Amino acid sequence: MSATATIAQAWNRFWFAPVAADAVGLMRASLGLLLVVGHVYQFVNFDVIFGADGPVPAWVAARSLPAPTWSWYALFDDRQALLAVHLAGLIPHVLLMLGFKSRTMAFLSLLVQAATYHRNPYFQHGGDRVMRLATLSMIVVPCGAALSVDAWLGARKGLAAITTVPATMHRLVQIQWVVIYAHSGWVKSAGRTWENGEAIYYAMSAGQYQRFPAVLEPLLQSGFVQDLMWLATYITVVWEAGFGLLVLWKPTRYLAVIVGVLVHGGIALSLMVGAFSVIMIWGYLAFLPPDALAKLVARLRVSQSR
Amino acid sequence: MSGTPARRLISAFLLFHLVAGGASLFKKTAPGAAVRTVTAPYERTFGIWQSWGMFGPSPPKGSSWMKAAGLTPDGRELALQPLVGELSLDRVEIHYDRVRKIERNMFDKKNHRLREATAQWLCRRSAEAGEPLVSVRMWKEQVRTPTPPQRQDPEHDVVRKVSSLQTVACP
Repeated sequence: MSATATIAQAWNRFWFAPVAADAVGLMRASLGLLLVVGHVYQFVNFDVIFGADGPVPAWVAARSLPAPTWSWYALFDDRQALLAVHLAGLIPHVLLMLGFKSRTMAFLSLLVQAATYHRNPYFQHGGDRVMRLATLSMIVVPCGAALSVDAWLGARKGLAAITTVPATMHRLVQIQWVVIYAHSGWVKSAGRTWENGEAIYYAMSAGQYQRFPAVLEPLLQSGFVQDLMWLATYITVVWEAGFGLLVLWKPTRYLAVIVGVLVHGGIALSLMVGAFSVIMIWGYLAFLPPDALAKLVARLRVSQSR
Repeated sequence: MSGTPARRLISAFLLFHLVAGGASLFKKTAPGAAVRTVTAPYERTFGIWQSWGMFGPSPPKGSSWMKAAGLTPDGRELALQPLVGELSLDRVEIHYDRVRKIERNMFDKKNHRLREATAQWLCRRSAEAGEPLVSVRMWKEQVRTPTPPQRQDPEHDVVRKVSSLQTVACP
């Protein structure tokens, strides 16, 4: 076999090996739910974020972001029209969650997210960018093959159920998550507080991020808690920098995922970092065996039908 | 990369996406910068550039908030309520406040247009409330986080730092 054929075969095996459609369906539906919640949440501060007369009018982003900038939000000044546009943006997120024309909805959902970013990048955080990358990964697979309206309609037409789909979405998410942690670990390696073990202490002390300052502040005075944070700082750096290696081997893969859930869960409980923690934990589904997720879905189906 | 035309198309996209991501990560290198001349529009269009600092290289060593004051035509200085302002220590927060992120972005020197637009918004609000302004001055206040040993001493000094951000004339 020629070298080119071998590479092509390895490429196909890596990106297009079959995985359980239920596992992909579960990830699609849960991502859709996160997108719906995130989009609805933007109504809370709608006038500040999107208002033409608000503190961030459309010209700010248009003149500040590098080209190309675009957003259909910038076309409207009227509050009612803007509200209608934002409400309409919910449709692809909902349909992605339900699995109707899933790949098209994934693309439209990505466009909606990008449109809000181009309208006002200043209210967005890293978690929003991870969401866009996760949505993009849904476009390249038949993500509506299972747990979806698409599958239900197919069954009604008498079409055979699709049980496996290519692993492309899983691979994209896996690579993206490894890149996120590797880059974060690399950036932190240049930081003095990550080197001397004080970084988590300082992160927890920053008032603009604290969720429960009244609880955190007394804890931060305790020498014992400071020692725990010192330990947590080193665990975080080693885990982030080593995540890519840890997930290569099955036993350490689960350890990496468990530590990740604890780190992101701890951050979400104590600091206000938006949806970043939740979307990172969502991505861990791509590191679990797709068959195990499919079995879980099957069990849920059985318990529901009883 | 053999297979169906759809698979070939997806493979080509995957290659492009990976190359774009790599160039975004290594944008400060000569090859990264060269590749980005082609791939940057793709990452900008969808807002998917790769940069993942996350409390790196170091988390902030203090609690910061924005303050604003308006100058009236007769020379008085009025305290204005900025987007968020100083946060109380006895608060409990369940939902993520997106507005706070906007305010944090105002601390960045390069975001002068954001501060300008917000100052104009404060001008409008003040005028609507019957107090027209000549200009709005914005600054950042920071309470420095004590070092871990300092914090164990209840008598430790609280260090406040004030940094001027921008003064904007009202239209």
